[in-house]
Amino acid sequence: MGGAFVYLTACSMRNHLKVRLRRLREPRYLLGSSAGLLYFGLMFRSNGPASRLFSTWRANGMMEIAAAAMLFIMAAWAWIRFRSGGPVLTFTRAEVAFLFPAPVRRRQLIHYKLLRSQASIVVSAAVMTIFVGPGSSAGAPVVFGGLWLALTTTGLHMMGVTLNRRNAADRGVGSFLRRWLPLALVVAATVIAGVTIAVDWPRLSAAATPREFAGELQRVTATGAAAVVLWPFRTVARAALARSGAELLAVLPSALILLALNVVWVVRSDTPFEEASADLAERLGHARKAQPAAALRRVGPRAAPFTLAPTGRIETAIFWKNLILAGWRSTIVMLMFAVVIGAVVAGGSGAAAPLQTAGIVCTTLATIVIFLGPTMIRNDLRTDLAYLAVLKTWPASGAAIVRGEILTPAVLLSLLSSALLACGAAFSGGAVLDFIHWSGASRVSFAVSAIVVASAILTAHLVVHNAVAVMFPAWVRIGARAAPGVEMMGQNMLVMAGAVIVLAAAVAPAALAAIVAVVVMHQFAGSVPLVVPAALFAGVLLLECLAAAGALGRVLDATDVNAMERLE
Amino acid sequence: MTATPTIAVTALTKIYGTTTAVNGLSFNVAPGEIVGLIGANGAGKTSTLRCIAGIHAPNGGSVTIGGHDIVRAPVEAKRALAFIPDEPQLFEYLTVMEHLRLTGRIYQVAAVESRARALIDALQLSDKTDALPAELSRGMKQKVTIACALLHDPSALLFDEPLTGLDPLGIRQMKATIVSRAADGAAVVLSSHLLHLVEEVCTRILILHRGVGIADGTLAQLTAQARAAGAGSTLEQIFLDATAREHH
Repeated sequence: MGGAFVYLTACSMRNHLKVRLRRLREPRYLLGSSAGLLYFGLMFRSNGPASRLFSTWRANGMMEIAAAAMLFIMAAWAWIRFRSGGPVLTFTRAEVAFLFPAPVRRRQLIHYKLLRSQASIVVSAAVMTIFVGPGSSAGAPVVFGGLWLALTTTGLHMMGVTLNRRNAADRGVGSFLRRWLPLALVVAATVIAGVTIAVDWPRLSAAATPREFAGELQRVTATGAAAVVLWPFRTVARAALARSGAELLAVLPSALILLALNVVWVVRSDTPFEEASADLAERLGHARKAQPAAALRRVGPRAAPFTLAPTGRIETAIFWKNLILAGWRSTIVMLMFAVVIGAVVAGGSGAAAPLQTAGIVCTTLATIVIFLGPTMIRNDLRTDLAYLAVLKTWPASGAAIVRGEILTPAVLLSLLSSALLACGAAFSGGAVLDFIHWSGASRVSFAVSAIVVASAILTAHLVVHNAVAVMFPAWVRIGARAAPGVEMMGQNMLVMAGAVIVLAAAVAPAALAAIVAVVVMHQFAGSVPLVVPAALFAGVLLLECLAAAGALGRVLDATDVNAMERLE
Repeated sequence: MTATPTIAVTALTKIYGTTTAVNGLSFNVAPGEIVGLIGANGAGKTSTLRCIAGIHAPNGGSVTIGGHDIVRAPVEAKRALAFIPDEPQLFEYLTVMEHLRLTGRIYQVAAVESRARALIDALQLSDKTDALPAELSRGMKQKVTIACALLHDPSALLFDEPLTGLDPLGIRQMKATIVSRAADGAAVVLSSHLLHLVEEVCTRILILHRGVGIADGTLAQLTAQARAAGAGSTLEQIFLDATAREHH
């Protein structure tokens, strides 16, 4: 049967590659691929910031400890988490249809999953090699080999945990034992590591530099019971971090032992996973263009944010729908979490420095939300164009649909950025704005102005991204499904660059209006309250957004549903 | 004398959480028989087929294919089986011919090339052998699924809503395929909401209601029973009357 699986994998990969190469005849894919490959090439050759930071951390030993700790947490979480129904192996609907009713043994299906998982592991290891690699093609095989070993061992272990947990459930091992035995083992391991560190804390705390601290921590955890508990995680971490042939060779025997143990553990499993996997494949298949993550999590119904009146503007109905789909509660929780963390950090100390730190953190987060939020929150036409045939049946103008679609991310991101900016201004204690020595009242004025301007920029940014989706749907990921591949990454980079240029052009008239207002007011009144030009800027930009939404609506009205269906 | 059944379902029970989808269902399918499973949505038709196909594990009872228990000897049982789902599920990056070669390898079919060519010609897919699923219409995908299902000459065939999404020509070919395979000695089970299909091609009809078999027999037998009970004589009337009686 192994031959059949190799045939399936090899043919699929070959045909996939052919399809991708054939797609390069289309300019958008050719441009996207060129941009993506150029980016990867530059990353590989330039020894960029990620690589430099990685090298520094690696040199002082922090990286190995951090990686081992992360692996420990991942493994611990995989063992102790308890979900109704248990985890399952993921198969596609075609795999279920062809392989499950076929004369294929369960273990052979597991072999097949192991084989298929190698495709993604090899790609992941290659991409990681480019990002954190040695900056030369000579060292690349070592980095790739170490990463491949680490990713394969980790993936195998996770698969083993999945099968083991389901096996325990299916064989009727008591719920108490299933739930608490792994937890007890994890707690025991954590206690051993914690006690070891606590005993040696005086020496650890005496370290003058992070390098000394890391060295001491490595020494402390390399002996006694802690060394036994942490051995698998340190081994995998060392393999992943190996940068020379000697380093890789040193860790290779223990890494191969670990790999072999996990292989034997997984291939000897005889867990009946077929039914749960078939069920998951159905859910993933149905949710493919909409919410695959939701299918994995088995998301239940979400609460409506407000009662939708039977009559009223269509924009409100779309806003209401998208709020439900966006999980407005989790957004509010996230918002409150950010605010509370800032408040606790600031209020807990009472000192100026932590307050200022919290303020800077909030302001930085707000900047990230303003500039990256619209590319990340896609609960608008970038998702709903997948359902254009449905939207077309609604008795609503295209403009109303565009306005309604943009409203949800605009409101959510504006609320988030406003809260962060307010916290930034409140906690900064003058640190952020200290260079201009403003009073508290001025800071409030600045915060309000920043909130108004940020909300307008966010809305304009969302209009630009939705415009790209409506006018150039082939260039945008429509629906929630992640589009893999270097050409899609390159396309996304080009779209983001284009969006920034269009956004700059859109902001120019609003900025000009604000500057004129400042000059005129300064000429006649002598002083200029910051809120006035900010409000003028926001007003002009929002008017532009409304006009753009109207124009986009007309394009949407004229868009052929077949064009979207062809894209799918 | 009754022929030895190719498919034997005995006291089959399938439970999902707190819902009993199939409840103690028993029936046999002899070689050459075409049994039609009919029932409302949620009656347990697809669950029954999936348990017979070995995709779902039964909570109770047994299923044997050619004398092999689908749970205890799944590989032996599945060698004689083919399951055609309601929606064709093909590998995204395998061509039509590669699907057949893969199937041949899985089922250990000798002379796979000649058998595959014959099926491809019969199903009018000759000009699509190198096409990927994305380049095929739904009907063509269904034909590929059928070709793969028939490649190993199964003695037990399971069809789940076989006419879904097919055009009139595809419907005619599908009906002909089902009837001809049964004529060649295969035991066929098909589930469908289309009563006219069941009436036309099935030699026996099994009406399911809430996971329980409430009527089982040839159309003539069911009609006679219905007449005796004062019900109508068409399959639609028989089905509605039987499910309504159970409902009350």
